[in-house]
Amino acid sequence: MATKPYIIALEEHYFDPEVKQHTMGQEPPHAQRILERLDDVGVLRLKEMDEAGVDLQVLSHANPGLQKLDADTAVRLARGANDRLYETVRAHPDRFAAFAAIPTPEPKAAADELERTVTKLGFKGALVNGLTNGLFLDDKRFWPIFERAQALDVPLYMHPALPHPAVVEAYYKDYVEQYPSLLRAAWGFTVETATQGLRLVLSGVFDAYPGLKIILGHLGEGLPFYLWRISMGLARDGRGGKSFRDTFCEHFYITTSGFFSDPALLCCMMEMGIDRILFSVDYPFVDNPPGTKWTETLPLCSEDKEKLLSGNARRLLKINN
Amino acid sequence: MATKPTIIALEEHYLDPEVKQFGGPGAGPEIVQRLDDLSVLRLKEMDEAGIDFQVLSHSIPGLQGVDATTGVPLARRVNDRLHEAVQRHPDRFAAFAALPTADPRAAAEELERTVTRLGFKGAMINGMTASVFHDDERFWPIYERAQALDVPIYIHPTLPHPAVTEAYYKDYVQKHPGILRAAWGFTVETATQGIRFVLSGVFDTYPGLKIILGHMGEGLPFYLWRISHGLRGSMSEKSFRDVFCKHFWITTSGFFSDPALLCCVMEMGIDRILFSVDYPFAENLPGTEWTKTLPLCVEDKEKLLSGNAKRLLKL
Repeated sequence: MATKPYIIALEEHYFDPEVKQHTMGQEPPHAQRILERLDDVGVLRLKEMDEAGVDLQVLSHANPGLQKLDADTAVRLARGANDRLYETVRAHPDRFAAFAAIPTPEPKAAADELERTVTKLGFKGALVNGLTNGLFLDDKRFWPIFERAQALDVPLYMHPALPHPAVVEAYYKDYVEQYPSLLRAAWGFTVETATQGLRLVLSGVFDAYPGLKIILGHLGEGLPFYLWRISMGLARDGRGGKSFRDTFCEHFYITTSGFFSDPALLCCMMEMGIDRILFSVDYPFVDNPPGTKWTETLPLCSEDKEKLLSGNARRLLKINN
Repeated sequence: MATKPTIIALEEHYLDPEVKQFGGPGAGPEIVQRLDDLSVLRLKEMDEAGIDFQVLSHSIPGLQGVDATTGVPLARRVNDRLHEAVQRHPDRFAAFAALPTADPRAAAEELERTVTRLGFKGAMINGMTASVFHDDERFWPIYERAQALDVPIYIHPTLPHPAVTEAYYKDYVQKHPGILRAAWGFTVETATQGIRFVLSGVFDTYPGLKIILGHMGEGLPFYLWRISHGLRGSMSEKSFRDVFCKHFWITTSGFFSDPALLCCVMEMGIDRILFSVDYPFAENLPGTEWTKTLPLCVEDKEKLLSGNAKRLLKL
């Protein structure tokens, strides 16, 4: 009988008690069941990991994190939040690792905090939630963060948040009351984060920092499906150089967070190859067992399944557990 | 040796000389020359690529950017001229109507007139009407009529809502104009329109309504799992997937990708996927050459290239 494969999941969220105080009210409150799990980085979380066979979670602060705070508050809160996250990891070093929360409203300080958490606390990179006070992260003022990520050789995980208010007004508001998730996992998250991915490529940041690595969740927010059309649409602009596809497939990694679909996964494998696709759940917004159960039925050879479940994460995040 | 399969393409555009005065697609001279042509050059380029039949539709922005007073009489003239073009080559062309959506009741009447009197196969709508999505109930008379006539409505992109351009795209528009169009902005807005149709309940009211989306369904087939999962708490009876796969057909216009097509086949089945080119914005030859290499059995390839279109459009 086959032994259970080792499973790493890397879009797994929690709430820091102090950051939470400052971000409450930025968004409608989560259901009690979700809140209870965001607050827990011990017994309940480990139990639900065990039940589903998830061996290691790379923890990250849940949306909206530090991205919608003023610069002073964000810088002040980041240190404490990351230090507490470090204590959480230290309490269960065989079960947890961490992505830093970085104070993007102050990009230079965010770069410094990324360095501190990676070099002093052993963090694996950083996760950024949505726009920083209305700005996409491809804006040049944020490039010190990318420069530092390249120097440290750690990835940045681009995670969604509630969409830009002007887009909500133009595209979604008629249906928000009846279908609140239209702004979130069903669609609004996807559109904005895919747009962020596209903008990063267009910005030239990968020419400036050729070692930069970006992770997108939710099967790359759909960008792998569109590679042919986006590459063709941009080639019509006649600027030459590398195609969108080439840049995307060189610098981006994607995870399966909250998106357990065979057709979508197979499309991503055909476009990007298995080496760039990493298993994740999106706990506690998504339950662990549907994620791990899904992987049991995937039509992949055991070598590729091992890459998806842990091998690619070990290599990308330099995890040695 | 196998005989050449019959090939029908149904997202194939032209420009009406009168509508042009209200604004064109913002394309270069090579494209505009082809949009203006409904005979020699077009037929030659169809022949070169083995396209037997085009269903013609007016290019963006079409009548969606024209007010009601101007649009209603203009629509009649536009569709009559298109009818004449089809009449000149009835074995090569059919037509989707241009509708004056600024007056939804008149648009429904014009749909009926063009289908019953002129033999049109349905209608194409480009983007929004005066910044309002077409799932708004004011437009439902059009869908009521489409159901009664049993013809599909093709939902086509146009330049995105200005507020979205401002928030998401404007930093890159100058250097990469494609971001507003085929590369991304078109896709996002038209996929959003597709989702809004499902949420609006229009398919409960008109259970026979048929919608066509181009560009591989603007990516919605890829997202069916995630969208359905996200909406599961607020769509209790039918899932998003169920409604989408019952009421939508998609075409390959401007999107000749094996991985994307295979994903769509897995999610929707081959019977709902129709070959198209997006001429003259995409060229015919890369489209038909692509279909030759597709890993599909003969029967499924025939459905993609003509069978599904014949059934859906009653050709």
